[in-house]
Amino acid sequence: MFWKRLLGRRHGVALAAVLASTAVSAADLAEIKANGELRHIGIRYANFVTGTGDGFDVEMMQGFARSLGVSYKLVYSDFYTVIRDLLGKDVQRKNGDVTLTGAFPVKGDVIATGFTMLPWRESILLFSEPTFPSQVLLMAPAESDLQPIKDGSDVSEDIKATKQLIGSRSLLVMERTCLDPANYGLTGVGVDLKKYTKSANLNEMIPALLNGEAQLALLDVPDAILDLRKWAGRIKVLGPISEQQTLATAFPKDAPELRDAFNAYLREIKASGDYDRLVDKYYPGIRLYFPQFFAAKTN
Amino acid sequence: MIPNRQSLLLHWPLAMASGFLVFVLVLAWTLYSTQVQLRSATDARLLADSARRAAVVEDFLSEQEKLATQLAGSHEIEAYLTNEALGMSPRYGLNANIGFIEQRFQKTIERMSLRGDAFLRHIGFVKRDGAAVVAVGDGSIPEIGDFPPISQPPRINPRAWTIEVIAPVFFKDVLVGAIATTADLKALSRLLIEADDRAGGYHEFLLIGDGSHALSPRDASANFDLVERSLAELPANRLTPAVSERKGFDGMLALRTPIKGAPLSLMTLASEAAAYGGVAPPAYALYLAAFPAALFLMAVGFERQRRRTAQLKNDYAESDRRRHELSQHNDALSEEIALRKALEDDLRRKTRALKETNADLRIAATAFESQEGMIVTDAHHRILRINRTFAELSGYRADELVGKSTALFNAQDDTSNLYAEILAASELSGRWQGEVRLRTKRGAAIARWLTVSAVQDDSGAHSHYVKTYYDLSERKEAEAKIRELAFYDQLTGLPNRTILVERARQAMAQCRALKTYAALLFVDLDQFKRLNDTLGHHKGDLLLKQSAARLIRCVGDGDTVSRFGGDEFVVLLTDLGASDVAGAALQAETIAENIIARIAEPQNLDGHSFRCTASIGVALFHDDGQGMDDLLKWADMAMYEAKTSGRNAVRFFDPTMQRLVEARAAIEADLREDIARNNILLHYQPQVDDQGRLVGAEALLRWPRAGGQAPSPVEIIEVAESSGLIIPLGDGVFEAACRQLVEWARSPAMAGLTLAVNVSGVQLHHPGFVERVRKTVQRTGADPRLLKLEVTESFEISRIEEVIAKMTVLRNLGIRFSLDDFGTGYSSLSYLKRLPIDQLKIDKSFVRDVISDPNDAAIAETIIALGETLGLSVIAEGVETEEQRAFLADRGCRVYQGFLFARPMPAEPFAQFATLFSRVKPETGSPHQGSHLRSSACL
Repeated sequence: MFWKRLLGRRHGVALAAVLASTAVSAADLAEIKANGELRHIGIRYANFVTGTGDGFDVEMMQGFARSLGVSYKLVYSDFYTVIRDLLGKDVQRKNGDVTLTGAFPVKGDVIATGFTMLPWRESILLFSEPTFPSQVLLMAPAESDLQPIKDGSDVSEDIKATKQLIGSRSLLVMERTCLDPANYGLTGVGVDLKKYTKSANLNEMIPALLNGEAQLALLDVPDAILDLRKWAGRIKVLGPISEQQTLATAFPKDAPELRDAFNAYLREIKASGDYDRLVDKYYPGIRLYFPQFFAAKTN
Repeated sequence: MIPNRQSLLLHWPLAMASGFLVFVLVLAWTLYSTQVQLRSATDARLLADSARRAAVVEDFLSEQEKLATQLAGSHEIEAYLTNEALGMSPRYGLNANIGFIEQRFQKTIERMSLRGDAFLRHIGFVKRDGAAVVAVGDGSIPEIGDFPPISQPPRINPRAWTIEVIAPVFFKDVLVGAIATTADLKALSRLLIEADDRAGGYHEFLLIGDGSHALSPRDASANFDLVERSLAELPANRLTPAVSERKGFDGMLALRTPIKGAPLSLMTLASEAAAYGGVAPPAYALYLAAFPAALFLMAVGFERQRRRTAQLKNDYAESDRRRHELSQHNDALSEEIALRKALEDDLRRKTRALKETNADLRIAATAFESQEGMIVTDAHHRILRINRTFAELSGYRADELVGKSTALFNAQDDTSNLYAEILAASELSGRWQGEVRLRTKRGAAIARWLTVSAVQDDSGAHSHYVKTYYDLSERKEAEAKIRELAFYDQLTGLPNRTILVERARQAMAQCRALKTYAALLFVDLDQFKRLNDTLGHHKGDLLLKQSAARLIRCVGDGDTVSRFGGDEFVVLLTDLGASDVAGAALQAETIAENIIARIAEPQNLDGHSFRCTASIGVALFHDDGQGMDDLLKWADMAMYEAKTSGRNAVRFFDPTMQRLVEARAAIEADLREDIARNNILLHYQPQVDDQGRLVGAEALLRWPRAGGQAPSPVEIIEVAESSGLIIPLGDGVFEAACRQLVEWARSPAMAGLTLAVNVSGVQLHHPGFVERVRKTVQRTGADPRLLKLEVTESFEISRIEEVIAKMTVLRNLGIRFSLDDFGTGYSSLSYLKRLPIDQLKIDKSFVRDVISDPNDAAIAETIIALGETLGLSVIAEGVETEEQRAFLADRGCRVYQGFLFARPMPAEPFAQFATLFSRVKPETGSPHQGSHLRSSACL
């Protein structure tokens, strides 16, 4: 009310833009401590960031902030703008090259949202030690005539068998996310790709699949674990599309200290058991999915 | 009835005591009722408490069942089963569901607690194929066995101290597996209460199963000190005093409350003092009431005792007076009793004597009416009574005899003597016994054994006589039978040797006294043995009987015909009616000739007409100068002489006979010795056919007896047969003949000659005959086809089947048979057809007179025709003239044997003869010079 009376309606919008471009930027550990606040960029995705103020990554970053002695702030983003919100630059990928362009406001200090470590991402970001495992699966409605694959001797055989199931069926994907078909060699091979664009929320993939928008869908394991419980009996996992993936917390390249501090914190909560409690809280059943990962972590 | 006032005044203490007693009883009853109610309330409270506690345990167990059921129907299980049904792989889908289930199970284990303590040990999800899908917690999945279609009540495992619940898991209404929860059984101890105090306190514990395990609230472990196995057998829901030898059970109440749906019982032990507080038992009130009641009864008793004492004093005085009177009466009564007792004893003695007398009388009466005739007389032998048997015996009625003398029955010839003797002996000694003849009413004299017994009166004099007549008929019959068996021949009924000898001795004495002669005739039936062997013993016995009858008819009444055995009869002629020996001999010869004539008459033996002759030896005697044995021996020797003279003759004893008998014994001894030494020779008489060819020979026995004259051939055979030497003699002859055949086989002139060997009936019937012949043939190597056994008709017709069988066996070996002396015996066409013979031999007795006697000629012709009819060859023996040979040849007889061709000769001359005969065929036989003793050389 104060600002309305002081600046008038038209000048209020411009001021807000200036404030946003100058007062907020990504910072390394010292600056964050100096600022007294850790800004956590999160995407509503699975139980990493639930959208209701909690989630695996939310609680972990809150703990991290506490360990730094700073306050915590959750900044929501989406898969299309999440890197831009961290680095202040937009990401362009063309022919395998990744370029940062433009100048945008930096909204946070760290991305922690079940963020997959992909090669192109690693070229522009610093990643912490793995915080979570993942894998991309091929999903189908329960009534689909396709039968899940039989477990092979190794994952690569399973992936091959799974991809053969797709054939000419339509496949629901979400670009620029972990469900981007380009990451798994599914583009240009005759697959009827249905890009989900109504939302950048991976949680909507299964509802869209059940809504008949495609015959098949890609889905990451964390989402799949939740959806198998949520939509039990209505969907089925046909098989893996990818090798096991690693999720980690991402930092700007110029914030290595902050990354190191996070790694230290991460090791600390793993040793104390807080990490496991978070896992069991938000992803019950994930341990059996990736037993080696969690065995290594808990050990 | 209302007592009057005075009565009440007299009994006021008793009335006061009664009132007090009523008052106390009312109080005691009130106290008792109160106590009972209090205890009932306490019991009800304990029962209710235990029931509540048991219900808590049951609820806990029920919750376990519900929990398992909830888990079985949980969303996580359903999701897993759904995804499994969709075919999702364990690696990329189902593992997530398994994780959900694990988390659910883990949370359940952590959540479930009892009084703050987690009690769930383990939860497992097992597929129906037995594969464990999820197992969370400590321990392992309990054994499920058959998967239940519905949730099962909790299962108590006392060994593991666990509560196991199995709940079925369904997917689309199909049983696919089960949830198994395992809870800590010891958690139930949290539900129990325990309180200790001095009186024993209050204890609750759970009995598991049969009481061998238990849970107490003190600690969650078995408390065996507390548990008594018998507690598990207490009736349910009934408060019972605890009974146990264990310490701490005294004064405790026990209550067993079963836990529904589980092998558990809630056991409550409460001290009686604590349960009922200070309340005394109801019986205590009764005890209190009993005390005044006892006092009351004692008061009443005391009062009655006092009254009784006074009464007793009065009674004592009265009884003392009466006792005095009674004592006097007793003395009198004792005397009376003694008197009566003496009378009774006397009476008893007399009664016993009377009974004995009656018994004796009954016995006497029974004895008197026995099966023996009895009479009772007076001292003068006049009849008083007779019994029924005597009446039947004598033919008199009793009334006819009473008063009569026993002399009436006397039938003795010497009447006065025996009867007088009986009377005298009876009167003197009181007894007599002996054989008498009883004369009956009809006049018959019956032999009886009489015993006379005197009956004495009190003074010892004979008052009566009892006379018993015993039946002697059986004894007489037995004696007669014995006599008959001892002295008479059973077959003919004739006296035997014993009687004959006795009577002969009597005759000797008589002869000496009267100067007369007597004679012993030894009669022997000729050919009896042959008859017996051929026609059988039955006909032989018949012949003996008929001959005996004929002998009896030939002699006088004073003479004796006896049988000594076999066919030997001895006749004793006691009175020959002559005082000189010539007259006596003539008379004896006449009788003997008569005997021969009678015996020779045809006899019908069961339809078989038979003529028999007898040979009789006679020995005369006229005093006792000769021993009986000698006399019999002489008669026997004379008979033997008659036999050797041709039978059917009478011979008187001559001293030379004795020498002949001795000579015969010597022959037997020498023959036995020479057989043993093989000192027997064979001569061979040729047999020639109608072409003049030598076809064989008959082996004839020669006995070169050393130091003595050789007996006749017939005598040799008779001696051999009677002495049993015929078997070894026959064996030796047959073996010699077989060896001779083997010898001949080496000579071309004699190789094909047959050799005939004679066989007697005794040999044929001998058991080992066939086997000996067969072995001898094998041993010597003789050709059995050249052997010919000549058998006579001397074998027993009754054993004809056995003879045929033996001949058949030998014939199968190749040996042939010739029927010797055919026509001289009992030739029967019926068995002639059956005998397996090859040849008939015409006896030389027919051949001898075949030219001169038409009967012999007819017999010879018949035999030849019979041979042709039966397909048998015929040989004639005893051919001595050409006329005889020509006659026989004309009738068809083709083989001959006799002096016309050759006499019997030793082996070596026979060989020369045969060689010569084979080269020169004689037109007429030239008699072979040399000794000629043809013997039926027996095999």
